[in-house]
Amino acid sequence: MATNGPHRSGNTNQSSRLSRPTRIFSKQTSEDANNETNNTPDKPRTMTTALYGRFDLEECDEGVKINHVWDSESGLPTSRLINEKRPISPSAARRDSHWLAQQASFSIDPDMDSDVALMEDILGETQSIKHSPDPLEEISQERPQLDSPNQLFPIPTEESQEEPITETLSSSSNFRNIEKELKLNKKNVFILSESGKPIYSRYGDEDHAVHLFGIMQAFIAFVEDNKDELLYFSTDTHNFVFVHKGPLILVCIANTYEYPDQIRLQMNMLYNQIISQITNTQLNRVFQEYRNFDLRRWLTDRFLSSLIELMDEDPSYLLQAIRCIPMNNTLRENINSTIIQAGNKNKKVLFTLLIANTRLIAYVRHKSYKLGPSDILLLFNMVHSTTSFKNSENWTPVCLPDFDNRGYMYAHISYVNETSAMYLILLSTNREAFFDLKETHTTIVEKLNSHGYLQKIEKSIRYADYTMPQIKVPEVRHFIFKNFRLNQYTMPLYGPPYVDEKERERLYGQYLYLNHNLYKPTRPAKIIYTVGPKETLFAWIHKEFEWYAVFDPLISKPSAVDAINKLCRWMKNTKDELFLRPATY
Amino acid sequence: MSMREVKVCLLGEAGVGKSSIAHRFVMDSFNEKQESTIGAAFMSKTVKYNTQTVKFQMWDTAGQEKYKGLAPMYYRGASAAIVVYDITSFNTYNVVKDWVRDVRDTCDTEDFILIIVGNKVDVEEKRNVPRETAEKYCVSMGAHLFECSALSGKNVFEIFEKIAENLPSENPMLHHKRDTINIRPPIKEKKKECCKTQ
Repeated sequence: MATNGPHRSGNTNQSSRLSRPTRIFSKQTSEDANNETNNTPDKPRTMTTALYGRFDLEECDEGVKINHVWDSESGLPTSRLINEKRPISPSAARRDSHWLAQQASFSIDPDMDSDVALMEDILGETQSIKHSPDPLEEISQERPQLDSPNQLFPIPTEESQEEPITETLSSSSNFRNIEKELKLNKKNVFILSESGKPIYSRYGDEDHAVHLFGIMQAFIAFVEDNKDELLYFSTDTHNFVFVHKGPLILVCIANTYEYPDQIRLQMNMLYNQIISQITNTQLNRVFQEYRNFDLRRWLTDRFLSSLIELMDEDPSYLLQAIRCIPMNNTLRENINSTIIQAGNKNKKVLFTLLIANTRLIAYVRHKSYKLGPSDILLLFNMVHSTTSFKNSENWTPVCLPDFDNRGYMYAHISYVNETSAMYLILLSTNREAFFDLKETHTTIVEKLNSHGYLQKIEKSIRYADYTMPQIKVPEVRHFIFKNFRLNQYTMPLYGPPYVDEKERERLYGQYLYLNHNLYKPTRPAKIIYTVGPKETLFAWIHKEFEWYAVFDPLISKPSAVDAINKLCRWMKNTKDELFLRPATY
Repeated sequence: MSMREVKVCLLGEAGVGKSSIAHRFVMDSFNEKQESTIGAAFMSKTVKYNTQTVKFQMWDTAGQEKYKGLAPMYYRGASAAIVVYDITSFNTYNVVKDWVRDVRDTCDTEDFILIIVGNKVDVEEKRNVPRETAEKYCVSMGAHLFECSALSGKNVFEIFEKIAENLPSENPMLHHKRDTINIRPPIKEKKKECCKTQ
């Protein structure tokens, strides 16, 4: 299906195999799109978007209330989904049609089945839009090169340069392998320096992808020549997302449920993971001095690979929030006071985190400093990807980009004991403080052990996961709840029907869809209620929390709302157990 | 019986087997999939040699270039350094010389024990660094040479035995000094010490 990857160069785009031309989004175009929607009258605050029916829900103190309900003509919630992969919101469909209207080179392959139906649907609608004055059309006249994919794929310089490059591409067997791999793997990630030096490739040897890197560089340079920034472009199967940050270029080629904005967030996280190893200052300086510097010497690959893997399935990174081990409040206070006492003895500890796997147990911070969730997630990933931390006490410099991207902090990382999944991270700004922090670590572990807290924590870890039947809200199949103030989230175990990996992935795709609609720059929704063929989706963003839930597809709206209110009450009652409040030194 | 604490620092190019040697010594185990060390790992092991008990406190440093700046912190207070190279790679042997120079610059005392270790003798057929070359260099630097294999465990414990053997005998003068310090200081100084330790 994906015939128009960048490696195909110009000629593929002229072929009729292309089912949907590539869409290109740069900073300017997306800003223009924003302006366009800003002109439309404001939507009511509580309006929801749904594809085949509309429901007005209203936020109130107790939860959500239905105001009135009106479905499409049939009066029933329809369950036909246009796109198997991803439900399309009306606004997204409209945007597509805007764009399609401008595509002179657009052609449809008669073999395409469902997609064509969609295309035709949209095209039918397009006719009327095409003749109305459209701000996007003016833009396309100003910068015609950008909007026509035919002209973008060739290396955008003089013709003389274009030919030799295509030749090397077709002659290189390495490149063919890469091409195969690109299609085989759902999500490819490449990192290169501005001057095209390979730094990282998720699959295979990055040295073999240098041809590809040349093209990526050209894309970026081409758009930047117009004083613009290339954000992403999409084919009918893949999203090509570009992030040009500092001296690095991060590219993601994905055929997943993720939206380009969400992938951008992930690429920024990856950039931060690089910074965490070498600091922003050092990164910029080294590339200023040696444009050809080989950054691989300074990076630990497995941090990046493990982060990409985690980001594929762990909602923490999507929500930028941390998941805790639920536990009794008094136990939590006891742990905190133990940590504070040990830390107060030597003033060198800035932050202490007690963690099991990738879930937080306790967090004590210096009273005037704070760690952001993205920094904590980077620390999680660092330990998650390193098994050798288990056998020793470790002392390593780490830069926490959200806290300060210019310098290092020093981390004492050590497991509580050999058999436990629990580990302590103590952070200090003093590089010579190892022995002080070692002592603090020993004191904490000894005290936790002698008071019997360690066993209690181990027990909490064993019972950390809860299921929906335990909560006694059987209508809800699964949910994710994020607390904004604490930057923490909670979710139950995946129950049926999300027990096999494929279904879980699909469910995660639904969450991605909801998240996208809550956060998209053009017309973000406040409450979403959508009926799909396999489940009914619900999302709600409030100043204090963000909520995603999945119901049975045949649930009635009043009972869905009832269930949400029930969950709200449960959440209120158990919030002290589910979420932890950071204590201070 | 006296108990002595010895700080040892493992240095050398990335991938020569520093962590493997440390693990072989401390846990008598070998991990095929040993990951590259992040920062530095601290391990300790207590061993009996003849009449004395020696507690080795070991810094297993990361060989990667980005951590090189941190290395002095680890060998500064150490009484012994083990510089490791891979006998199958001449390049790692050349790097040893840089390490030795750095260490000698910082720890230039007579008592300092410098040991150079060629690892991976289990793949003797791929040897690239002749023993004689290394031996010559060691003699010129006043260092001890060992060739070992962390995989098979050959010669690993001998390295640490050598360190224990060569430890400077505890200086009676030092004891004397310590004693006098305890007796001498007026109350004021004592207070200062208290604050420092807190």
